[in-house]
Amino acid sequence: MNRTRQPESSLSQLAGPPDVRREDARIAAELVALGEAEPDALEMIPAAAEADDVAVVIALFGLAHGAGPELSPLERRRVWRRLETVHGHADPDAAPKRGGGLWIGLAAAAALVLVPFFAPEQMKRTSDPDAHATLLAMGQQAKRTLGDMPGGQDQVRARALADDYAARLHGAANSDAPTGGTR
Amino acid sequence: MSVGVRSSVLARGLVALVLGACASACEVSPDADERAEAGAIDTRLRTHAISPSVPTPQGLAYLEAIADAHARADAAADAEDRAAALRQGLAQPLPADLPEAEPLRLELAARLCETLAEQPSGVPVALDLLAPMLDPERSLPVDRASARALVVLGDLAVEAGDDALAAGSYMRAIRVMSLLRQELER
Repeated sequence: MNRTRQPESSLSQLAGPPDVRREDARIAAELVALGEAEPDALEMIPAAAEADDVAVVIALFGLAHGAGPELSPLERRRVWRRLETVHGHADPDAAPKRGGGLWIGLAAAAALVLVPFFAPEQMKRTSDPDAHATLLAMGQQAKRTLGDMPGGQDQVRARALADDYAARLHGAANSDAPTGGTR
Repeated sequence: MSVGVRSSVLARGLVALVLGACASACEVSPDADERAEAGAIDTRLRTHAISPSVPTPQGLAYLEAIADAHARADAAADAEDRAAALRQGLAQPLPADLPEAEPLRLELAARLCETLAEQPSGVPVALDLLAPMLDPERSLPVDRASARALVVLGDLAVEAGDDALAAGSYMRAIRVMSLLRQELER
């Protein structure tokens, strides 16, 4: 039992597809050649995130998962604000399709879920405004994801299921008829 | 590799991470008694697939009754009438060998609980109805209805001030949706 274990993977390992990681590696190599300090994982987030929304979500997941560097509350707030800014300026034409949106919704919701999970003591304090706000955001995200899934109309779905069942029942009855019986 | 393909690959990897994290969460306190402690977040999820049954007239009558219950609820003038229609649907005797009924009952219960929550003092009643149906010890169908019911349970728990139940319910809902998505992509 280990509620507070940290994942072995670093944020930079989570923060982008291969071409983005190559770009990150190139930047890091140039900085080293110039005698500059190697960028930490946090500094690489915008470079990864500007590629597409998925990278933003992965970066969020990394932070929520505790894979990023230790941050003060102020630094953490700045990071989330930077990520929000990048996300908010995303090209609407390059927005993912509906299926991608579902994946991203799931991932973002899971990232939010993991924030209280890795700080379980917060969940016992219902009066904690930050924990409560996180919980509400988690619920909103879960509802949005659910709303993206087909089958949201109860009556329509129940009726379709009944109609399908009736068709199968009548089909089975017809196939059991001895001489090509009709309905 | 195109952006779409790359995103898909990344998303799969991400969900694998998420599911791995969820699995870790399930390992936090495997003992049921321990989980019963106040404040513990129970994220256990047992699922099963729904296979179509051999159709029978009794099964059809049940499914028709459920569809009618939803239709009456849609036409209800107020929350009280809607709740009555949904209660009647839940009270329908369940025929044997009709696994298709399981998600329908979850949908009815979820909708009823949403309706109850609109009424004064309805949240505790709704929690009493829905929580046992979604007990982590019970296996849930891999269906949208399970996810929807878990989200409703999470909302009810938030209303009742039970943050641990809310977090566990939302997390289980997300896992059900992940499983559904995986099935759709097969």
